[in-house]
Amino acid sequence: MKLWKIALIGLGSVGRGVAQVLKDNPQFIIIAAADSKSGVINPSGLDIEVLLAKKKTTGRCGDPKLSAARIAAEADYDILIEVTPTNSVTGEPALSTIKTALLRSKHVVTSNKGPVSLASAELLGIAEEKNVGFLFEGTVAGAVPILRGIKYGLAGNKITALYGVLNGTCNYILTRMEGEGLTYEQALAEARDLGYAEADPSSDINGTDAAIKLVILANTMLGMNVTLADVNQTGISGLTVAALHMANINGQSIRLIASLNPEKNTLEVSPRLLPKDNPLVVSGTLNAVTVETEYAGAITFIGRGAGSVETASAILADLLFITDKYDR
Amino acid sequence: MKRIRGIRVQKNVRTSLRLELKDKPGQLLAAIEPISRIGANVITISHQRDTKSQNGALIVDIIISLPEARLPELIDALRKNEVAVVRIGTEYLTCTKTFILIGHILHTDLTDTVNRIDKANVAEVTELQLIMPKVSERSTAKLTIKAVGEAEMGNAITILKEVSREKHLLIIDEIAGDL
Repeated sequence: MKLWKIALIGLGSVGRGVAQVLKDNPQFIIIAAADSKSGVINPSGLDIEVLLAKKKTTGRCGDPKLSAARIAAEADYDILIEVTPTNSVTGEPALSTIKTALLRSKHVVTSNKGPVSLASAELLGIAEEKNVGFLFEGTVAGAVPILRGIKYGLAGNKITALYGVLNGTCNYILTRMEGEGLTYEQALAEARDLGYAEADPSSDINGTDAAIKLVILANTMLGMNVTLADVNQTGISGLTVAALHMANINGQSIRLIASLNPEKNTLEVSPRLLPKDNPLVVSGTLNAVTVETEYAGAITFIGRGAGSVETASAILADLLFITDKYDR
Repeated sequence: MKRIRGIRVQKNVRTSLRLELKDKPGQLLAAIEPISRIGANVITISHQRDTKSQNGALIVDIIISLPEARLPELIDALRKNEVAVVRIGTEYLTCTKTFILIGHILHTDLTDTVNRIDKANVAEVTELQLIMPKVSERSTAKLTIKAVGEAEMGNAITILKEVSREKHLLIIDEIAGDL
């Protein structure tokens, strides 16, 4: 069995999940790792537990002179895993790291939405030219295999519309407002306490996070050519408890829905009314995507949209796709 | 009724009919044949053999779409075929959508908001429910619009969205389509 050498860029929550998932898999060996301040290379394999312990005490996993950029450019790896935080404006530094790896004919797997939403066409183009894999299942709906589900599971079906609950933070807040009559502010505070919302939750709340995922779906799965600016975007901060109450009386729920229509070339993220029994009305932090197709009708994918090991699950699936399809 | 270039144009109206048929062969055909002959479009037929009227007749509920002026002609034809028409209901506004609006709904002239959407017999606001927590706070309204068809509903929604933008109202609409 071939041993695949991995460079792991990013040692936050997702990076830790990846390390955990790969530990038990004899096919993979992590030979290089980097955080935002330092990096480390060991051709015979790294002990991630030791690295994380070091990072905890010193704030760095390795040598400050060994940056992620240098690892991408110099280390002898087969697959680069990029799991640093999303920068939705420039995609950097991840965009450069990924490009460097692809240009060296290395496979890349990422859960970073920035580079994929900004430059998927260019990056996929390089990957094709170099005959390597560039996979990013974890960027949309976490553990839910929505990209592969559309590309392979529903291959040959024309997609006429797509609707998704793509932000777990918003869905949690709406679920709590609906179920317990909490105000928006109370539900948001609760989401923060439970770690479902970041210290600055604005990109979740105003719909940007869902819009970025919608752009990725549109450009990589539906043959569209759009940017974040093309998404008509309304967040959930203006919602009242009364609105959820009125919807409830009517047998409806309100969810933040990302939707697109390839024929009309429209993309929208906004709170929408849905019948309570619609499969898109999921609870808590779950994600859901309904794809309307030519032959299969409507198909809904539901599952965990975030989390360390959940996102690592998507990354592992991408890695195994690469080991299955490519010889090196 | 409108006239365009001398041709009388009639809008089709959706009509529900409850028919009572004798429980013997060929009766359903006796009911369908005049409807077909008159050129009405059948939307749905529900024919339940196990529910019978008090006099033992079979009940058939049927919804058709036809120019309103031809309705008496159809009723006559059905009666000639010994089909009893026991109920006739006509609804013009068959397309219904519910919206939730959030904002300073009352203070931005609610009458104007409703008036701009209302087009008599084409699209109308048929229901409005308002919750106002405090004078200074934003209120929430549930608004139901009925229209004669999808196109007219589309126009009404365009106007509603325009008004909402102008008055800084957040509008939450239903997901369309057959999800």
